[in-house]
Amino acid sequence: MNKIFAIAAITVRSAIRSRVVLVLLGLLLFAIVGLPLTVEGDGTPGGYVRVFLTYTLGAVSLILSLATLWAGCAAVADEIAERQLQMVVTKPVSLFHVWLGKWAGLMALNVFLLAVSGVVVGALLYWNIDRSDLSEADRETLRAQVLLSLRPHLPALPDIEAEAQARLPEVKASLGPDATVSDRELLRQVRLMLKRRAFTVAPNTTVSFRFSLPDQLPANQPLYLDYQFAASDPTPTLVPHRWRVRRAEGDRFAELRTEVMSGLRHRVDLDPAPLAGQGPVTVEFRNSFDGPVSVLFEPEDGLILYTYAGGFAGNLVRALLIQLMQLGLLAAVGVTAGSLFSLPVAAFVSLFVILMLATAPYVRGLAEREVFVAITEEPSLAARAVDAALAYSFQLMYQTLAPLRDMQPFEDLSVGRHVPWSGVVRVFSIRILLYSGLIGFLGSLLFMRREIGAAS
Amino acid sequence: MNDAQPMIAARNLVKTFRDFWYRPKVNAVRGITFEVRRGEVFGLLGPNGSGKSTTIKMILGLLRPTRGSLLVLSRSPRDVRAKARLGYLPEETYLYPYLTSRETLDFYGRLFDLSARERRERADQLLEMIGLQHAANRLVGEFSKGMARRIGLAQALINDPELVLLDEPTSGLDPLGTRQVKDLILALARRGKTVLLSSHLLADVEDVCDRVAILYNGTIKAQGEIGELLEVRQQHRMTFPDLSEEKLEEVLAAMERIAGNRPTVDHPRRDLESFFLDVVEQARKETGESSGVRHSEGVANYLSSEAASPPAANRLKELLTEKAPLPSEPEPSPEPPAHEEAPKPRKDLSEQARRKLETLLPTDADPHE
Repeated sequence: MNKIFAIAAITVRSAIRSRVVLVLLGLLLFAIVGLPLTVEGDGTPGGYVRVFLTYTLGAVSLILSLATLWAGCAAVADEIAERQLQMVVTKPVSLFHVWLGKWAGLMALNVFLLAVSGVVVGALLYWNIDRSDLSEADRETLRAQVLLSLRPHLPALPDIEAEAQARLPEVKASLGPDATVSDRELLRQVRLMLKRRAFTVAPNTTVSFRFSLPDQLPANQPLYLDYQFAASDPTPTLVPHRWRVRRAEGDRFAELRTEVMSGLRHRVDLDPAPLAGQGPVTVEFRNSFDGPVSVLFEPEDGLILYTYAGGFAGNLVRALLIQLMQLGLLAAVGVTAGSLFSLPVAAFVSLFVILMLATAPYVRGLAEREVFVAITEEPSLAARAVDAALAYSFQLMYQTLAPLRDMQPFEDLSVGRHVPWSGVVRVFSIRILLYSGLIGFLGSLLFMRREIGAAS
Repeated sequence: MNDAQPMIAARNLVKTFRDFWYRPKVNAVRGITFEVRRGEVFGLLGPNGSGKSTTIKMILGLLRPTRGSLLVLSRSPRDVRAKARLGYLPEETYLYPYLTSRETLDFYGRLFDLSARERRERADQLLEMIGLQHAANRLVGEFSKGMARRIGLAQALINDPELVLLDEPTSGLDPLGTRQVKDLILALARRGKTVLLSSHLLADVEDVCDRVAILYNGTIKAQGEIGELLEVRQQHRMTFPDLSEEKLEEVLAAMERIAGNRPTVDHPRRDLESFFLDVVEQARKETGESSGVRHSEGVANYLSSEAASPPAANRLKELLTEKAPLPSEPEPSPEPPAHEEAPKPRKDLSEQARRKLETLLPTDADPHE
C-alpha cells in the first residue's frame, strides 16, 4: 500500500506544484460564479434554483470530466515519454501499483476539487437567495419544495404478464400469416399496451394506484403528489379531476378537487395526517370530465408521490459522490489509455471509449432489433447471418453498457429529488469496483506487456 | 544465492527492435554472453549505439530480450525481488521536476518500503555524500544537469543495493563530480557491492573497472580483466627520481649496452584530471564553498557490506567510516612535486586502512585486494 500511496502522493504533488490544480480551481470558480450571471431562469424561484444548480454543477462536471480524462492519459503516457517511469519501474514496483497509484492520485485531486466546488455552489446559492428580492413566501416555497431532499415513490405496476401471454395469439392472428414481426416484438408491444391501459382513466371513472410508502411518514414534513397526464382530446384546456389519498383501505383520506391543463406537470401539497398507520397507500384518480375525454399517465413518471427524505446539504453531498464515481471511471479509462499509448493516441482512444459509453441509451433500440439487412421477403443466408451477428453484437454491447446508463444526480438535486445512498453505492459498485476494476485489471495486463524502456 | 553465482548472467542475449508491422528494424544486441561476478566493478564499454544501454535496460527488465537467457541475482529481470536489491542510474536523470531533493529521495525510498525514519536518515546521509545537503529543499527541476545527476546517483543507492547499474554515470558531471563518482564506485566495490557501469569514456572505465566487455555493433569484441587487456607485454617501463644530465646519460648508456638499443626518455606527465582537481581544491580552501555542489565527505554510512560476515562487516564499516583518508576524500596536495608521477585514482585503500583490513578480514573478503 505504501508504494501505491507514494505514487498517488507524487501525482497530487506534481499537479499542485505544476499549477494544474490552481488553474482548474480558477476555471471551476469562474464557471460557478460567472455562468449563473449569463442565464435567466423561467421566472419562478424554483426555476432559478434549477438553472443555477444545473448550470454550475454541470459546468463543474464537464470541466472535471475533461481534465480527468486528459490528466489520466498524461499521468502515465507523459511519464513514459519523459522516462520518469523508467526510474519507478526499476524499483520493486509492479505496473499494477503504478496504475492504481496514478488512479488514486487523480481521485484524490477530484475529491478536493469537487468538495471545494460543492461548498462554493451551496454557499453561493443560499447567499443569492438571501440577497435576492424574493418574497418571504417564495423563499419558504423554495425551502419546502426545492432546497431539500424528497424521495419519489412510483405506483406499483399491475401484473400484466399472464394477460399479455394470453393475448399474444389473438394479436398475432389479427396480423395475418404474412406478418414478419417476431413473437418477441409482438409480446413487447402487447405488454406496453396493457401497461398503458392500466394508467388510462376513462371519463367519469376512477382508477386506483397503489404506492409502497414508509409506515411512519415524518411529522410536519411535506408530502407532494406530482403528476402529468395527456388528454385523448387536447382541445379542452382544463381537465377537472379529483384525488383521494388514503392508507390501505382506511376511512381517513386526503382529498383534492381541481382542474388543470393536460401536458403540463403539476404538484399538489397533501396533508400527511390521514396517512398515519401501516400498509400501502392508495391514490385514487377520478376523471370528472363531462365528455369523451380520457387521460393517460405515463407509467414511468406520470404519477409520483414525494415524501421528505432529508436536507439539501446531504443531497448535494450524495450527488457530488455520484459525480466522483463517474470521474473515477473516466480516470480509469484515461490512465489505462495512457498506459498503452502515447499521449495524443491515448487521448483519442479514451474519447472514443467515452463516446461509446455515452451511446448506452441509444444502443437499447438496436439491441431490440432483429433485422438489419435481411429486409427482403426471402433473405439470403448471408444476410441472415449478418443480421444474427449484428443482433448478437448489439445485444452484447447493450448488456455491457446498460449498467453505465448515465445518472443525473445534479438534475435530481436541482428539483429537490432525493439522491439515495443506494444510488451512490450502486454507482460505486458498478463504475468503480466493476468497470474501473475491470479496465484497470485488463489495462495492467496489457501494460505489463509493454516495454517501458523502448519508449522515446 | 551463494557467492559463486554470478550477479548477472547473460547467455546469447539478442535484442531486436521491430517496427509497427513487427518487422525487424534494428538489431541492437546480437548474441552477447557475459557474467558479472559478486563484488566486482564490471564495465560495458563501447561507442554510441553499440548496445550498452539496451543491454542495461534488459538487465533492468525495461526491455525484453528477443532471444537468449538473462538472470539477474539468479532471478528474472522483471522479478520485483530482484529489483529490490538493485540500484539504477539511467543515462539521463529522469527526475520529477516538482519534487525537492529530499522529497525525491523520500519517494524512491517509499518504493522500497523503507520506514519514514530510514528514509529520513538515508536521505540526509546521501545528500551529504553528494554534496547537496544545502539544496535539500530545492526543486530538482531547478538543478543543473550535474546536480540532477548527483540526485540520480543518490536515488540509486537509497535501498543500499547489492548490485548497482550505472549507465554513463559521469555524463554531465564536471571533473570534480566525475572524480567523486569514480571514488564512490570504488568505495562501493570495497563495501562488497557489485557495480556494472556502461560508458564510452575510456578513462572512467579504466580508473574503476576490474573487468570490461567492449561492445561494438551489438557484439562483444573483447572481454577480460582490465589489467590483462591493457598490458603491453612487449615493452618495459622504468621510473627514476630526478637525475642530473650526466647521470641520466650514464643510465642510458648502460641500458643501451645491456639491451642492445637506446631507450627513449622523457618526463612523466600528470593527467589533466588530477591537476584540475588540485587547482580546484586549492581554490576551495582559499575562497570557501560555491553555491553549487559542495565538497562532500565520504560515503553514506548505511551503505553496508553485504559480502563480509556480519562481525567483520561491522568492523569493516568502522574502519571505512573513520577518518582514514578514503578515495572520496582526496588528500590535499596543493603543490605536488614537479616531476612526480601524478597519483592515479587508487583502487586500493590507503596503507593505514589496508593494514587494518588485513588483520580483520580473510584475504578473499575484498575482491580488489
